[in-house]
Amino acid sequence: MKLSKFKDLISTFSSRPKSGRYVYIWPYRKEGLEEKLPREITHSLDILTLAESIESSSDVTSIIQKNLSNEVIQKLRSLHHEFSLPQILMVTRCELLARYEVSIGIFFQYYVGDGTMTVFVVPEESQSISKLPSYIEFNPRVGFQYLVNFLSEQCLIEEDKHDTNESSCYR
Amino acid sequence: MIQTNRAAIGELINVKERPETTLSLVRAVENPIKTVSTYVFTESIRNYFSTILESVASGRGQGFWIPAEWGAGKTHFLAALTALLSDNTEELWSNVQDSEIANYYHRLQNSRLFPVILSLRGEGKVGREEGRSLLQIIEKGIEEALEKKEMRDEVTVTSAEEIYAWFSELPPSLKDTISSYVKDQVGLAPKEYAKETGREAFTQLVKQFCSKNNISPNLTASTKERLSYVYRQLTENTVSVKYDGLLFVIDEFGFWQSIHPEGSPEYAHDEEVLETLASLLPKELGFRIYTIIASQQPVPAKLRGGALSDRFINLPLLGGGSEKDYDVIASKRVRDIIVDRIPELNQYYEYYFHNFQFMRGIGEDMFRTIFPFQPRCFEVLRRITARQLPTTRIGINVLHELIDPSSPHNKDLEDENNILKKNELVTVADLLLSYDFEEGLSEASDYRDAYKAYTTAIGSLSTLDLEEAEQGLAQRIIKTLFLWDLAYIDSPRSISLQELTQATLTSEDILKPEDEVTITLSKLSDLPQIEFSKDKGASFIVQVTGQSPVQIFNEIKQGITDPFRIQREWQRSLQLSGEEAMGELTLFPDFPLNQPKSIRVENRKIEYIGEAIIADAWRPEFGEPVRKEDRHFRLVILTQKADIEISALEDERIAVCVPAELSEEAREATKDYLAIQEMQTVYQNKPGPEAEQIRSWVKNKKPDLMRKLIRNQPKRYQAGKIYTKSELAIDACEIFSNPNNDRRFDALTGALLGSTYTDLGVNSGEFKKTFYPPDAGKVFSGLFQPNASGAAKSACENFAAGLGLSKLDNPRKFAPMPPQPFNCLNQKLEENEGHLDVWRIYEGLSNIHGLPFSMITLYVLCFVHYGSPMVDLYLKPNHPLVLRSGSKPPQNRLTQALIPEIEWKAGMEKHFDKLTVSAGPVWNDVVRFARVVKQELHDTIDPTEVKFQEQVFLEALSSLEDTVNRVTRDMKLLLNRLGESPDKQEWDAVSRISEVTQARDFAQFYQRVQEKYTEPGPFKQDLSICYRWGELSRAASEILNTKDYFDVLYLRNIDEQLKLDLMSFKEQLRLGSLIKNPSAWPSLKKNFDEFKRKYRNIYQIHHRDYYKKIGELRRQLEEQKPNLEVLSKLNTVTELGEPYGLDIFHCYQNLIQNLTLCPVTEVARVSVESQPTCNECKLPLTQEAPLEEVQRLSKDLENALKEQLRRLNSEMVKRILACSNDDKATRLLQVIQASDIFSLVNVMDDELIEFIKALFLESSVQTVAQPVLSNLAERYPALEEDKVEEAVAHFRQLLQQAFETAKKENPDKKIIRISLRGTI
Repeated sequence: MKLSKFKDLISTFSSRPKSGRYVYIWPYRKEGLEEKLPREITHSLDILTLAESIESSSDVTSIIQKNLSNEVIQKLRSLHHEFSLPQILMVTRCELLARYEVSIGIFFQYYVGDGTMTVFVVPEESQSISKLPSYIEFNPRVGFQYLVNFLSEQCLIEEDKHDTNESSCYR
Repeated sequence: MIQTNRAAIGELINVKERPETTLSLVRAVENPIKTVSTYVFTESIRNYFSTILESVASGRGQGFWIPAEWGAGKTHFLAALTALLSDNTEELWSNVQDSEIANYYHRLQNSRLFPVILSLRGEGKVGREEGRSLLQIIEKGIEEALEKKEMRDEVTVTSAEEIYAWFSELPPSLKDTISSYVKDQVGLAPKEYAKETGREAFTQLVKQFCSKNNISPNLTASTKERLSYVYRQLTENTVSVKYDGLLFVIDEFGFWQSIHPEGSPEYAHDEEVLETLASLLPKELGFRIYTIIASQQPVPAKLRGGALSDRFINLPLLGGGSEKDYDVIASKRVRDIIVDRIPELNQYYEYYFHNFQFMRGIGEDMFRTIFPFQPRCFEVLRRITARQLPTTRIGINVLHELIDPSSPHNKDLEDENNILKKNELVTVADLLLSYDFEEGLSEASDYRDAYKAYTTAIGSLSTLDLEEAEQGLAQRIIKTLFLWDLAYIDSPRSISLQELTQATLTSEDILKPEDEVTITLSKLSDLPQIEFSKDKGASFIVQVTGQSPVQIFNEIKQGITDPFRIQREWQRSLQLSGEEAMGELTLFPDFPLNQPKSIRVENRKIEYIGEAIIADAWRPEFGEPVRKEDRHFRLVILTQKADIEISALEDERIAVCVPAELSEEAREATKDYLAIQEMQTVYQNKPGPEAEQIRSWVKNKKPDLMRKLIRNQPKRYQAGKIYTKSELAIDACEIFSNPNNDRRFDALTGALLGSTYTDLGVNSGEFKKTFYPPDAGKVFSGLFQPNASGAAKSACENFAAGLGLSKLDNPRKFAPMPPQPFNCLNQKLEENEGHLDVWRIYEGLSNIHGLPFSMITLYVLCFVHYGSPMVDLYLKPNHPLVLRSGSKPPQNRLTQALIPEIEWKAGMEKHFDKLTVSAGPVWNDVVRFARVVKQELHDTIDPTEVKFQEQVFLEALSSLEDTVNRVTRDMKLLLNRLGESPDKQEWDAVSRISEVTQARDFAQFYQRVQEKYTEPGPFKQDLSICYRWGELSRAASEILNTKDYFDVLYLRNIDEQLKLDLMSFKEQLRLGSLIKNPSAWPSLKKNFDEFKRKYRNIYQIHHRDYYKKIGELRRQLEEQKPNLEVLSKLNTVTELGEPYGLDIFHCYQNLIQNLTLCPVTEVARVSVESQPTCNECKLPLTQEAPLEEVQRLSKDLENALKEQLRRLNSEMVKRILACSNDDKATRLLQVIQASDIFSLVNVMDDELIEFIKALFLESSVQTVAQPVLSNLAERYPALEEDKVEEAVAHFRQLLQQAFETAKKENPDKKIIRISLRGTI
């Protein structure tokens, strides 16, 4: 989706509930998105912070996956119950979702619907770490790829270079 | 314009909350009451639910596949079903909106299914090469469901669980070895480690051990075994809550199918899992497992259930004949009908049913179900949203947005788009009022180009020659065509004129609706986006760029400047054929250029033959005399202006028409025509969509231009000139103002022949019709041949008297008057001594007296037969004429006697030579009358056959007698009840028939029939009256019922239309007119039924509103009851005076008795079918609620209380009350001083009344009415100043007398008070 279209969508979306499923991937810096979203209806979900709050001593992947998944569901439920529509959810530091293979389906089951919008923030280049031992292979695009696999490239918000021919990435 | 007084849409519906259109199965199931209570059951959905619930109730496991398009409501279907199958409490089931489904509540009471709910959207790809399998997702779903039920520790599900279980069952030696391994790795024993970190972590260590030691754990391997394992655990007594089955509900399976294409290993795995769930486990093992899958894809072939329902049963939503479900569901989700306003809805129905074809297949119930939407809205909306829009269920939201009071177009009361203020159905064009819908169309890739074309077309409207009144319709048409195009984007189809008229709800105004749409469409077809032809209808073309056809046309036209080319083309256009002129009629399409063509005209009721020549220039031979036989005129019409010399015209029967120069209008029309022709040629074979578009435009435009060109042609001749030898003043304008050439030529030759044939040899004014050449032969046949055809008889009636060959009262009887041509013949015979060449007769009678040859032939033959003088007609040798017997007339001569025998032949005069003066009771009698009664009877002289014929005849006669008796009885009854007098002539006719039918043999019949009728014709005529009466008598009962209905039907002044209808019906219900045309009764009855429906609607509204008012008035009256009681109590205090306002009590009782409610409270059940008032309450339509009476009573009561308050307020009473130390007296005193009725009513109870009475008793006050003032007035009716003292003295005396009288009457009272009012 073109950035200009996205801005238009935000504008109408904040004035009234809108039918559809609105799920997008923001591949730039978080600050760039924040300045475009209306504060009064925007909520944040930082996956890393959420993970830190989980009390568990297990290092077993499936257990962590389950715990993380439950916490996300909990958060999504509370957003739905506590705040009126429309609302926008900005999900940041999503790499953990990829690491523990948390299904994006839970967002569809517990949050996505008329009057809600979800934007996953996954800056493509910002996570590179230069000083790592040579035997460690670090892929800074893992979060981005994970989400694109789940959703589709049509959910990507792009600067206005070309027309992607789609307004909504998911139906 | 049809007058509309329908209520506004907003008054008839309650708009519901905005429906959730993007349901999540999980969230919907978590809110079961809302999910179930908002679910709409249509017939097909009810059947689907029944199928599934029946399966559960019967205890047989089964798979169900729910395929449906986007927006069909799959998720809501699944959610409602899941909620009901997972929860069998009455609290939930009482919310089911369908009684049939709600009945399953009892049947499912013993069912306890363990629900596993999955939505596959967003599942599948998890970043690895191989994603989770369907089985893994199902297992995970089971785990989550167990956790929700807090049964996680009671049931083992996944392979980790199975490994743990395997480990627990190992023989001690291996178990100890693995335990040691675990302890080495993590420092804890297996049990402790599993407890601390979970079984998952522990089983990973076990797997590591097995892997290192090459051990294969013996785990349950197949899908069937693994799911069976779970099922058994859940249905055995070992768990805390025992279930008797499993319910798997899987949504969004289409998403899953899209990432597991057919042929892939994943696809095969999915099939195996689903087959296990839906077939293997339920069918082979008898497990109660129910699997319900919703998908946009059809069920895979392998999983499709056969006749035995062995796999998945297919339950397609909105498919297979249940398409109308969408209309029902969508409407019900967005609004409720206000039940009380059903009569107004019925008025809508009546209006649309009678004015629009689309309503013909829709009943009242269905109309109310989908109100306020026109059915086509659903078709268009569903097709468009099912294809590609931002959300799956936007359709319902669009409808909601249209009628939502908070939508922008509904906020402004003056907005013409305010749907809630409208009293017309929502149309397809109105759908574009939805912001979401329009935005969706503008962005969806499939629709974007069309949307641009649509906005271009709307933007171009200002460039068209549209009148202001047409703008609205033009917009509606464009919007409708645009959306129609999108709805059928895969198989484009045009919409017919009639359909478009209906879709835009164009109603009759000055023009017919179709004509109005045609005119606007013709103008719109100048837009490249609109294509229209009457045959194919209209369609929307996606065209947004390039030079428009109009621009191309204008460019070509500007290049046409050669005046000769324009003149030539105009002349050529005069003779274009119908095909070339595209169905338009040019001036001279069938005339060869510069050659004479025979034409026929009518003059003074005689058809004449002459010739017309269309010529591009004048030629001398056109002016020569008219010489051909039986030719009477010549018309020469030039195609361009020329000057004609009168001297060149040698016959008075010649006229030359010359047109004026071409006008500017004619030149423009010709240029338009040339330009469109050129454009057609240029683009004829060009490829590409643009050329196709232009060809289409040309095709639509050309007829219009052709019409303009051709309709201009007569104007040039109207402005031209007509030349004749006698220089007759013939007005070219008048001649060429006639609508066609027949009329033009008739008018032109009328002037020519009228001035030439001044002594017409026949009195054609008496002809009943125009005389054509064949009529001569028919008249001849009618006069002389006994078996003449009907046409021959008619010809006699039409012409014979006018020709002077018979008398008016008996036109078929040859009885010459004699006519003028006979005199001419006599004269010529005398002049030629009894021998006359026939050609001389024709020459004279044709050229001088203007008789056509065929008519002259008729006169010649009749003259011979007339015999005065006796003449013979000699025929030429070798003539072909024959007698009716086939033989030739002897001696080639036709004598007086032979004339009736000759066979008439057109052109027979060619064989005439000379005219020369020359020197003679039984059955078969009855049968022609008898056949009037029974057609099958026939002539015979065979005695046996005669007997048989008579028997058949008498049976028919007897049956006729019964009919006549019945008819007579019914007609008397009808006449009596309808209060009409019989038509004497018809009664006489029926009486005659009645007498004739009483005959008992054919002789008697013949005698009677002969007495009354000389010919069968009149007998037949009388009988037809009987049959006509019979037809009406069959409807006698219905007619009388209708009459009874009308007799007790009363309408209000406001029901103007119904009053008019009623008057019209009463007028039509006259027996006098019905008896003339009994076949009118069925249609009259139909109109009456229609009238009753309209009446029913207004009656139901009246009934509802009347009793609403009655209820309100009754409440008001009941509120007055305490006041009335207080007045009643105060009236018992005699010391206050006489009781006041006694009539109020009576009035109150009367009113309250009259304010009773009707037991029929549901407005739709108020019936006026058999009588014009409610069956229960008989409320007349004209009755109004007694509003004024109730108000008057309230006022009277208030006044009465005020009066009593005033009495209490008298000084005396106050003094008495003041003397009392009682609290009540103090309170009452305060109320009295404040003059407060309300407080008076509140404080005045029985106790207080008794208290007041006691006070009065104690003070012995008695108020007595005495006529002091009236006595004074009697003595002094008028008073002058000098009598004042006297009058005062008298007044004093009267008062004293009054007090004395009162004291005598009330000896026990201490205080006597005189009321000067006379009465109290």
